[in-house]
Amino acid sequence: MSDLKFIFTGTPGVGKTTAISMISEFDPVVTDVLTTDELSEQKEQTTVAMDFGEITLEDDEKIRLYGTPGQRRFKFMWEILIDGGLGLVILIDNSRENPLEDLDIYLDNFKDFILDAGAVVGVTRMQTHPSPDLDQYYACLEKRGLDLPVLDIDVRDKDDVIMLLDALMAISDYD
Amino acid sequence: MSSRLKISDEAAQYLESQLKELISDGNGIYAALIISIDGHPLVKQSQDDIHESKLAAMMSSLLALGESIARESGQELCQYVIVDNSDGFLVDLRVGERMLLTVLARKDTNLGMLLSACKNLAETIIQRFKL
Amino acid sequence: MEKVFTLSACCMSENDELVLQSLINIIDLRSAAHWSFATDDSANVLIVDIDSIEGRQLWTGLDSSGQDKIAIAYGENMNGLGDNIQYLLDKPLRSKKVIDLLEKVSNQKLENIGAAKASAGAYAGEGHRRKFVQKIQELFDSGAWGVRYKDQMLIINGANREAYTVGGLSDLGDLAEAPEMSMEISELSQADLTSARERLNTYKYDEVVWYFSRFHSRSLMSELSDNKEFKIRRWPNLKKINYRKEDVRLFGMLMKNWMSMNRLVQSEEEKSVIGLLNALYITGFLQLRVDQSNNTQMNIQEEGETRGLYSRIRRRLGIA
Repeated sequence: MSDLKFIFTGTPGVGKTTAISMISEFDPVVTDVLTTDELSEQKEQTTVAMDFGEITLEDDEKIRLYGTPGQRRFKFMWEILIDGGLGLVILIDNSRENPLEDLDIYLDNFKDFILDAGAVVGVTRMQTHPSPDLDQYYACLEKRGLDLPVLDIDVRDKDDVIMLLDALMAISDYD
Repeated sequence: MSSRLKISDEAAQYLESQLKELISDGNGIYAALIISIDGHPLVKQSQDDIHESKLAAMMSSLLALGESIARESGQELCQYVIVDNSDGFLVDLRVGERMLLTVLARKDTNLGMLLSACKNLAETIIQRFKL
Repeated sequence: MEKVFTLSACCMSENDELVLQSLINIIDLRSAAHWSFATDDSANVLIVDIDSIEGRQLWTGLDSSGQDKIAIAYGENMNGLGDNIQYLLDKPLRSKKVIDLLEKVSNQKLENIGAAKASAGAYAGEGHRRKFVQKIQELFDSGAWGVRYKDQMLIINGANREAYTVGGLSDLGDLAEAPEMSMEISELSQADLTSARERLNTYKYDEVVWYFSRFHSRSLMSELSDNKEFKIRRWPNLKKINYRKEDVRLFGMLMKNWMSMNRLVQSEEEKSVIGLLNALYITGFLQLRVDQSNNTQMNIQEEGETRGLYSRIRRRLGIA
């Protein structure tokens, strides 16, 4: 039986590690190092390999939770991590300059996987940055012929993160 | 506070010459890079063509994984990550807090000497820039 | 007589046009008039992007042609458009602004506009649905608010100190006319009501519409018969409605496939499925078509297997 896992991806600083830590049984293993480029103005650290968390089911089966690095030069890690996954969570930070363009990048990069397994989009910081709104996200997905749930979430809220995974399970082909 | 890494021209030149020396020292090394801890290539010396930006990112991931696994297994302070391939070695090691050194060496190399040479260079750089 | 508006996006970016198209359902739902989107000349309401050259030209042309269309100027630079522009929309396009503006347009007298051809294909019960939402909208517009009281949701109308329950709204034959139902809460003084509002967890419009349409005792859809299939392309904002955990699975199923009632009730209770479909219908998310599969039998085997892993994960996460 292949690796049972969900993968969290999205823009740097959006909260992939935080989201995983909300559910993981142990503090996620992180591979964060000091940022030395422009990103360092917003974030002191950046993930360069992966985040790793886990939950154990009643029968001792393990479900793994992986977070990918956000920056594009680590694209090779995205490919390694996504392989054989159950579904993808794409987190988009609505406070960034062009969130819909950000979304496009992940939809492009994980195109095959999304068609195969399924994905959800979690939009963060909508409280303080309401635009683009959910309708605009859906319009963007519809342009690509994709039907994926788009959820307004706060990664620091455990229930929100669970809701995101629930939505992912609800539309993934496994179900 | 930003931890942006900037290398002065003078420093870059110094590092280049150190790497050059490393390569010409007859220890089997044919390429060496100084990389920022988050995967940007800073200085390189190479006898062959190498894709330094890709290598930089991957080596950064590799070292971070190595250090992570070491911690998780209860062993401290990862010193090197070594990839032993059929036709060569790759060695990855930290230089201070914000840089790492990567070398590519031929197979017919004494691994012990290789590691020793890398460690010495790392130490020299740390001393020189008070890292 | 029902007003019919068709909207056309002129000289706009593809993205903006898509956004407008996607908003039309919501506008149609909330307005007493009938709204649809047109890509041809039949439109009687035009939103013109006056930042573009073609848009400007079009605008000038409209101005002088003594036409029977409503034109809305959309753009950043309104200079030189002339005085007395009735409808303005600035950039960037925001859903709420568009909806508010078009509702304003809806309230215009019919005689000013040439009525466009009514499009076919409104579901039976469409007018009823709109009235239902309109009633709630009117209440909220006049300052009403939603609150949970003794296991029910109420809409409190502070102005006349009346309260409406789901029962109170759904028993209305003709929603516009029937008497509203008052509860004991209406006997509270104004002061008590105000302090109640401060103490209680109040609900906003979206949540109230969702709740009310969910528990509507009689379905607002004229037929939820076996020969209909349902689908959604968008999920409602889960943060704005009181969704139940069972709903998430249903939303997922509806997004992936056209689902018939039969298939839906195999995983959930019929009552709650009807409630959810009602809510999705009233809030404009639900798509309907006549059952095309001739296959009312759910693949039982599929259900059996799949219940395995994901229900274990849900149990583990506490949402089973």
